[in-house]
Amino acid sequence: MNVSLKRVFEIYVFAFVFFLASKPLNDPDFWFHLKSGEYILRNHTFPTTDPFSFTFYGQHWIVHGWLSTVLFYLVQSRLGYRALIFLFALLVTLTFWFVFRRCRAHPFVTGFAMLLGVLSMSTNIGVRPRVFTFLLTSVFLLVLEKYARRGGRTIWILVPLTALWANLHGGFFFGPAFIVLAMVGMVLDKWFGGVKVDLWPRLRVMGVVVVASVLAIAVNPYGIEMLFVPIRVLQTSVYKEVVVDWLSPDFHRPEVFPFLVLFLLTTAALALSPVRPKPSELLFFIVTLYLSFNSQRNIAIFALVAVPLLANYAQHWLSANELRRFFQNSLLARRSAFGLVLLLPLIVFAVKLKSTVYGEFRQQTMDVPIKAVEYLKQKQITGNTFTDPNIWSNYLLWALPSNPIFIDGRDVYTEPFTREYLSITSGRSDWHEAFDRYGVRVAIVGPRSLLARKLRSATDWQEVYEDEMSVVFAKRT
Amino acid sequence: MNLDRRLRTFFSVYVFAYAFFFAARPLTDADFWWHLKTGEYIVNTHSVPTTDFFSFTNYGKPWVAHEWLSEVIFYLIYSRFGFNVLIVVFAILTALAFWVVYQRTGSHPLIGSVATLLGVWTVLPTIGVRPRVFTLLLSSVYLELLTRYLKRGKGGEIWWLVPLMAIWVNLHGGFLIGLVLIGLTLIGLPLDAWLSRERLMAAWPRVRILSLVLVGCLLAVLLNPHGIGIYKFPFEIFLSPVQQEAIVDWQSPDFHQSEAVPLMLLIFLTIWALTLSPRRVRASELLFFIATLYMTLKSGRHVAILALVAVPLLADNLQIWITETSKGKLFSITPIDSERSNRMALILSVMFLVPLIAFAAKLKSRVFDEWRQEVLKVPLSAVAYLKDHQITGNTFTDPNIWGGYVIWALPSNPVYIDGRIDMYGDQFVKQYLNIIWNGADWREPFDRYGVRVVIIEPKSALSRELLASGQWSKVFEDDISVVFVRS
Repeated sequence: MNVSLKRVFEIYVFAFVFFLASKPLNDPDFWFHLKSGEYILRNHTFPTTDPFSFTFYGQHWIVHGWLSTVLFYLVQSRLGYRALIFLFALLVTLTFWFVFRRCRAHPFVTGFAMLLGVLSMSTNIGVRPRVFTFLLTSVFLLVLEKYARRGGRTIWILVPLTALWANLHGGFFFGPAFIVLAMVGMVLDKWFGGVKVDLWPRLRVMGVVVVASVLAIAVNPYGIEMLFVPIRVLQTSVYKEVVVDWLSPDFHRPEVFPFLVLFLLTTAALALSPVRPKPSELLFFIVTLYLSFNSQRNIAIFALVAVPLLANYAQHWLSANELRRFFQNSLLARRSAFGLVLLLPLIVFAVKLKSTVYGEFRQQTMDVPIKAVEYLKQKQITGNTFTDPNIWSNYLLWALPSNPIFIDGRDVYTEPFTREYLSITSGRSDWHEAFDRYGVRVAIVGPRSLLARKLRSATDWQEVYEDEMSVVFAKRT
Repeated sequence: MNLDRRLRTFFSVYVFAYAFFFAARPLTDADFWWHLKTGEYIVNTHSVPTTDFFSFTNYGKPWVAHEWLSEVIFYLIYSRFGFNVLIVVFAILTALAFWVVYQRTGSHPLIGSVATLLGVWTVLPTIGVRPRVFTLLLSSVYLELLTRYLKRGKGGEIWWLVPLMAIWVNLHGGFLIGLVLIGLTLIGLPLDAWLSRERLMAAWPRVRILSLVLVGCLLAVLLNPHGIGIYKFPFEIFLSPVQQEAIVDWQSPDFHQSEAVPLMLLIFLTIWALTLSPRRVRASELLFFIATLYMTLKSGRHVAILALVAVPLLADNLQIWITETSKGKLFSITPIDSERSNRMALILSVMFLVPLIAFAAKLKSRVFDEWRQEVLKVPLSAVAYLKDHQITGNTFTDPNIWGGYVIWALPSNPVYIDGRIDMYGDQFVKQYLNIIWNGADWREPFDRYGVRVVIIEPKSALSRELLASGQWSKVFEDDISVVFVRS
């Protein structure tokens, strides 16, 4: 393939990555991030207690990832929501640019692996602080891979990057963990892979980098407390039982299918390739696979590890087999056919993007009860508000500050309280008693939920609004 | 460590013994009880039922007990020898399935044994006294015959697959797996030939014979009480959203559960061994691994087939990798003098025998003696209470599978639903799920079907609803269940 054609193809691949990464604002958490950013910029202070709920008002709470929330608010307030969507799609594309730098395969193979990778991540991306974790993971993986091969001083950049990471998203602990994993990988490569380098000087430098990175985490407005945030979250068992993000992937769901294909194809490529993978590569593959099996939110991290492995080892296999001829002689390698074949879907994508992502913000797409909240605002129905699902409260927090919330998607609430909330919504405990005890005045719930049925038959509650997504009840006075 | 034939035989016995002890488990599958009842019916009436006669909601609806042969075996063993012998027989069948797998490993016996026992450990949540154990055993035999055919491609033994299929289809609905395994071999044969630079036509004679075997098996499937209708059955399950979403067995594995740890170990170790082994895997072997891995991630119940496929791959490739990295010093498979081998066999005998005694003691106390409801996962005390107080009538249970035990232990109480989800149909099951998950709309179906007795979990939403309704009285409660009777 000649160089100019290669470049054209690569630009196409990145254009596709960008389009696939453009997601509507469908993450309800977005709204509390936005609100937190607004709070920080307006008050010029970092909150240490919860200002939003009526159940945990004044209880200890910190905004981890504060820098993301400030960025959210700055972009939204100056340039609008669509600019945010655009910016985050760009960040995902940048993430894949670093992945691309680790691929050494035919552009077709690399392109295929990258698109499979971005499709695998599709439920994890969007306008979310975790996109920074993906971007930084990608940078870390590239720096660590280069260091294992050639050494050098670039490794030190990981220290300030970890400090930045700790301020952007709670996934910062991946940073030092990857360095440790790379150290183990280097030892394994020497023992089992026959790599002949003097390990000790490199391991010593990496050891210092790990310690410095862990210390760098403390460079944030909340200091050393930030170090314990991930531990606290991981210890809360209720998250792993009910929060979809933390569950094992459900392979019946179509959105998980690309991950399954990526995993199985990478396994096949690693096993069939005439060049054996290094133990360190396999270590990253298996550890991130384990994390993805445990919690589907980690599929994105796995994809960043697996894409170059798939591309590079599939390339080895293809080169050793007759399939390489396909790439040399195929019609696809002819310039005109090639340009046309790829241009058409790109145009379709762009049109689709205009209508679905950048088009009108509808509540079905955004997964929050926009119309019900609008109604409450117009009618000035205020007071302590209960929502089922809890994440609707994230939107309330932004759009209806007059209505303090019962529970939302933040990690401010204790485990017993979260379980109490779940038992109210599932009918295992007395909702009436709980509503009275907490002084709930307004309830926004799904039209076919158990609570909707109960509230409809309760004489002291009145249905004031209903649409296809939600129904609103107000306590009679 | 070296080996000779004796050492291999010795390990072979131990693998069987350990697999047996691992697999001997209490009767924890609630479906067992309606299988047993069906077996009793068939033995007593000499006919396979064609309509439902257990429930009051779907009484008379077409239902063919397609696993009738398993059910007859259940009942015959139980009625002559009791439950404990049934547990022993099914543990032997499981051990046998893995013993066949162990014979396929070409590694050092210690590596082969550890891999095989990891396989047994992996499948434990899905086995027990269940018809699917026959699928485990028959899949193992199928894989053995198909692997030999892939490697050697000669001999008439491949034709055994046909009569085995005729038996399989009457034992368990998993017979489809046999057809899938033949299909995978049919793809693997030309794939291997192509990638090893042979002429594609070289594989043709074997493909032709195996295709004929497949046709033979497809015809053998027809030898069942359902006739050609049996082909519809697996597809009904695969295409039913309710079955795929609501039944744990068909769901993806939950890797938060401790019982999924061996599965993860098996997957990761096999990937490790396959990818690092200096011997590159054959395309057909990889095809089997990837296909069964896919099946398992889709539905956890297929872990049994994955284990049968992965164990020899893990053992053999791990052997090659260890031999290479240790430069032949560890787990060598070259024979040595018999004196050292004897000594090794003696040491290993003692080493392996001691835990075996502990296992036997565990079997006595935990499997044969323990008939507690927490272990059997059915409301023994509640049902005993109903029997003692002669409380009869249409009975609703949550979870549905408790209905299976009511069918066996309380014939006077027809059930609302039980584990035969396929017979009840999606619409009915959806309505049932709505009642138990949301405590919703229970009054109308309870009145329409004339429900008189309700056995449910104590802290459920429905339990609160019934208590608050004033029309139902709580007559019994313990840790696992509460019984309501219509006032």
